[in-house]
Amino acid sequence: MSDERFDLSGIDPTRDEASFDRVVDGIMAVASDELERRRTTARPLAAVSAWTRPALAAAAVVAAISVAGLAAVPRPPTSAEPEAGIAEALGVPADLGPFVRGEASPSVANVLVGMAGRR
Amino acid sequence: MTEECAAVSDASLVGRARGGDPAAFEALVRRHYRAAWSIAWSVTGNGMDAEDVCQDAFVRALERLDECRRPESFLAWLRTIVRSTALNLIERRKVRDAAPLDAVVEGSGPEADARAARAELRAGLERALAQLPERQREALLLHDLEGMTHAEIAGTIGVSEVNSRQLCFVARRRLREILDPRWVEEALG
Repeated sequence: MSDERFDLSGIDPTRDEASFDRVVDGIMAVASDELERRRTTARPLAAVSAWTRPALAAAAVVAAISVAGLAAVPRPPTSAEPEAGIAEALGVPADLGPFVRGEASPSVANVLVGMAGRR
Repeated sequence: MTEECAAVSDASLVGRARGGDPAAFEALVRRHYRAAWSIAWSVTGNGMDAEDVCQDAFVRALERLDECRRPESFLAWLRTIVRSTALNLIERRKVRDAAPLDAVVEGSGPEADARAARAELRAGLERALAQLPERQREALLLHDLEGMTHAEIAGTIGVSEVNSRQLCFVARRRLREILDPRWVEEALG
């Protein structure tokens, strides 16, 4: 199958450079509004994207320093019975503490004794 | 087109044109105008209409540039816009005479004679091309006028490489039958 090209340059729209330039100028003139709109929209987006990378880098540095700082701070000794601490924080009388930690419900008598002991 | 833009990929130019860079958009227009014109011509069968279609299509492409998902295949995407713009034009006009092809050449002397000869050549060629089926015209114009390879044509118009080669072969054979033998001899060098 022959692939010999036909000379179609007679209908080539870009053959006459001056006339092709006019065609391109015409397209650019019609497109100018859309290009301007795109430039206007692109400016704020470009500003945001320009700030994104440095801001992320700064945040990463701050996070790294914070983690290192927290790791260096000595921790207070942990409570052996954290549940008791919670009961105290909630204002539960010490006599009723086991009921908070356990599953059994206090009787009315237990509550009265606990309240009396608090006084 | 600036030297800078001439060496830049379609994907990069599309990206810059999305941001409103006129030089990038102009580079896209200059790079793909002939292919777009060939596609438009294959639908309209008329050079003047093809020019109108190209202007509309490039501006529409710019307006919808964010929808171009594969900027590296810009021409294939542009083709769909050119074709739909051309089909819309035909739909609007329905019937179009070929008067611009036979435009009157004014003046006299050697320059006017040369212009007349060029116009006659162009008109004859356009009339002959107009007799080809659209698919053949499109493949032939993209190959023989735009200089695309069959692989590029295949990727642009959605046919196989072998099919593109066949379309061109059949189109050339038909053109030889239609055109004046002296002109064919000249066209084939």
